[in-house]
Parts: sequence; C-alpha cells; structure tokens
Amino acid sequence: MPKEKTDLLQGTLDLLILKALQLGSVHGFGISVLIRQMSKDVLQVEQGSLYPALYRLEDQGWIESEWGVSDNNRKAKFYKLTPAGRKQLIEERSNWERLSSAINTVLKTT
Amino acid sequence: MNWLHQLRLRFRALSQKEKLDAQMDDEMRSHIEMQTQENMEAGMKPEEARYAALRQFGRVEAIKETCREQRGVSWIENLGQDIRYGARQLRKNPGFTAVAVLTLALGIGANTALFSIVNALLVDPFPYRNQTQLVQLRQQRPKAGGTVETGHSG
Repeated sequence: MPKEKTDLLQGTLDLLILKALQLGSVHGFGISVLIRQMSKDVLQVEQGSLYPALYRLEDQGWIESEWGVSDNNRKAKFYKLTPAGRKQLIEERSNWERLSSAINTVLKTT
Repeated sequence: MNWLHQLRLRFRALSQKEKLDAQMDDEMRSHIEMQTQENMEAGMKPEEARYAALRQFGRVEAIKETCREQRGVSWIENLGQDIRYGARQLRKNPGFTAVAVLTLALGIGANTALFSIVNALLVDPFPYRNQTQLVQLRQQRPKAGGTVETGHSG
C-alpha cells in the first residue's frame, strides 16, 4: 500500500510523526491521537500508514523504540527521537516550508 | 554510520524473526485495545467498541506484512524460501536429481580434463621461466658436409 503513495505524502507523514515525538516518548496509539489533536481533528492517520512509517523511521535511525507501560498499565512500545532525528525534524520542517510556500506562490498566480 | 545501524537491524531481523513478529503482534494488539478503551469511554458498548476499533485499524495482516517489508531483509527470506523449496523438490524426484547431477558432473569433469590438456600443451607447456625465449642452437660444419644439432627442441 505505501508504495502507491507519492513521496510527498510519505515525507509529510514522517514530518508529522517526528514533530509528535518532539516533546517526549509516545506509543503508536498516542502518536495518532497526538496528530489528531494537534491538527484539531483534521488529520487522522490510518494505522496502515502509521506503523509502516514508524518502522521505516526506526530503520533510518531517526527514532528508537523501547517497551514500556502505558497510563492504563498496558504494555506498549514507546518511540522517541534520536539526536539524528531531531536534526532531521528541523531539516524536513524547513523543506516543507519551502515547498508549501512555493506551491502557494504557484496557486496565487491566476 | 547509518549503514552500520541498518546492518545491525537487518541482522537482528534475520536472527530474531519470531521474536520481532511477536513484538509486532503485541504492538498492534495493544493499539487496538487502547482504541477500544477510547471508544468505550466515548460511550460505546464493549463489543461494539472493539468491533469499531478493529474496523478502524484495517487489515491487520496486510499492515504487518508491510511492516515486515520495512525490515529490509525480505529478499533474503524469499531467497531462502526458494532455495528450500528447490531442495524439497529435488528430494522428491530422485531420478531427475540423479540425472541432473550426473550431467553436471560429466560436463564439469570433461571441461576440466580438456582444459588441463590445453593448458599443458599450449598455454603453459614448459616449467621454465621466459618460455618464449627458448632457442635452439645448431652448429654447421661445412667440412664434414652436414649439420649437427645441439640443443633441444620440443
């Protein structure tokens, strides 16, 4: 499924996940809740995209995982940013801003 | 050193496949449980909450398969599966296997023998250095009316 997504969408999801982990470690379910809350219910991440993205980000060394206990005393896998991940977040964010302002500029011309 | 990190992950993916799969199961299951919990807190009945959570999660097996692909070792696993399948098929058809092995043995043996001969005769015939500089010496004795050969040829 993710192979059909454009690189643009995939990169955007990565950016959202890295941002969601900025303040601390969160588990998978928590990440989807955070993204929903931070976007004021606009962005709802499908689990079908979330978990492959988490595994990919971990493979690339930007996040790391460890098992822990959630608020409800459930066993859950928590993710957090690595130092490389923090750098990546900054870089992807500036890429996104450059890209989106370019698109806005195009859309504004007639 | 990203490649080193990835190499370590790939190695772990191969050597601890079952453990990683079990962890993936646990992770997805706990997600569904948390979603069920959230649904119940929103007012749904337990069965309905769980059903809604499962439906929202989507096709769990397909997602797991996609996640497995992210480990980056599926080509190795597929290769291993194909090799094992081939070995099983060979075991099941001993006659065919015997013919194939004999043919290969004959081919390799004949080839090796022929090459050894060609090598000895044409490519590397003398156990001397600078073989191309070997010469043959002859002496001529005009008085005796003939030639005497010294030196070697062949």
